[in-house]
Amino acid sequence: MLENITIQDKFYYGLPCVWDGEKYILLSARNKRVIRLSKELLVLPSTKARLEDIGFFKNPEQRKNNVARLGLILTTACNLKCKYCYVINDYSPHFMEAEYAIRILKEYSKKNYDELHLSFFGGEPTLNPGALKTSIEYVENHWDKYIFHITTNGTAETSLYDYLISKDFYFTLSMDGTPKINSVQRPYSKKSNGNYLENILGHFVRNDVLFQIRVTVTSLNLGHFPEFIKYCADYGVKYIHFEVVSTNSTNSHLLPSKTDYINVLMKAIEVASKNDIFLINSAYMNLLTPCDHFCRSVAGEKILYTPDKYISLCYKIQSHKTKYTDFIIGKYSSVKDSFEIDRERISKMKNLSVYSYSECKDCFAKSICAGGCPERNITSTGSLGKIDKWICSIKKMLIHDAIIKIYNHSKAGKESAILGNNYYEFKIHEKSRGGENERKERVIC
Amino acid sequence: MKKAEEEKMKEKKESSVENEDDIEIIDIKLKAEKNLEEMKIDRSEACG
Repeated sequence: MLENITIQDKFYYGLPCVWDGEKYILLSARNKRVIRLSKELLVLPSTKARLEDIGFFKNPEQRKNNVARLGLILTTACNLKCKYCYVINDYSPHFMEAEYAIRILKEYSKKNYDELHLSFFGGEPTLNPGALKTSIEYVENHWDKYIFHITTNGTAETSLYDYLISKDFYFTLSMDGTPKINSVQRPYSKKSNGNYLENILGHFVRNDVLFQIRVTVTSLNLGHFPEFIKYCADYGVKYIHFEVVSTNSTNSHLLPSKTDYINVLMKAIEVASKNDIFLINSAYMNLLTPCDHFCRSVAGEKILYTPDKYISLCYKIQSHKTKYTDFIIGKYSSVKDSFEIDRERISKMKNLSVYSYSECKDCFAKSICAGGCPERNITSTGSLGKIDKWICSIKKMLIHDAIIKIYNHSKAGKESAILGNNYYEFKIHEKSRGGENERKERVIC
Repeated sequence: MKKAEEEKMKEKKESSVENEDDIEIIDIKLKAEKNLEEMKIDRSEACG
């Protein structure tokens, strides 16, 4: 049983501690160090005292900057038909009006924040270029320091991407495999061979655009994942973010088996390391940045505006017609021209920290996984208070393996492919430094 | 300030010690040396 791998792992005075078969390895985010020691030494009080002495148990540095973080879901419309799509379009898709986007942005002012991080999401957000461009112009005229981000499927005209590149966007490009595999999992009627992706990949790399590929892993594309990493490396891609599909009763056949998933991932990590690709995954994101909440939105640090004028705490909850209404924490009132916020609901969601799940109490990975995605938990278990056991056991194995890999890589003087998220965020941070005055003119080729 | 420097020196000294008492201490190799918390951008798209 794969689960047995983590059976001896411990939560050692707040730190993850994993058994590698001979000794224990401890990871300290504060120290940015790993320690390997015997079972006998681990239990000695003098060991704890010594680690304390070198600051091994201190909390990581905290953030000082005051950032306004928001996401605009520009439309629920999309031109692909992904087999795992979660967007509810029961009648017709919604589009966010440009005037409404501006109304949202007016809620935030540089007087109250140091910086603005604005993400555009969909559906496919490039299908609403009017609201997209209007929002960008507004931010450029009202903020000194900001970061723009968009998640796109790569189907928009190159001219629109060039416009976004000229505005210094960083991109998440959704792509589930080579064009052939992608078009099976994410069929596109107009350009079904998926070659549009090769064009946009080449264009991004040529123009030194900061982007990550976002792969949803299912039983359909899992076996091709290592080959896809090599394909990306040949294009010059640097970052690949993968997550296993979140399923419900209607599409559970898309969930791969645990053994297959872990086995393929181990091979994928090997291919990524050999090809200088950084892998990003929710199991790895918080290895060096421990946290109580899985995502910023549930922690109350980022909110998302839906095109039907509601406020959501989850990218997957894009309309008030959701059955998971706990994620809807407010709405816009056109009569009062104001946003009505449900503080009680925000507080309820904020309480969904790792400390609220009894299953996480003694888990070695609690400060890294933080109980997992609440939306995924409720979809899988029917309750916000319970965790998705499938993903829980997978993450334990991945985190266990990641800590051993960090030890081995660091000992060999190498940077680990699984710490890609930290480096990616560092590159994003560099983009925002200095604000508007230091932004350079780009020549796009 | 002096105390902070002393602490830093002490940490540095400790980090270079390997295998002492069979405790192996290794610095994690990381390109991004800044405050990682400060740089956290967005983790709300980590769902499947």
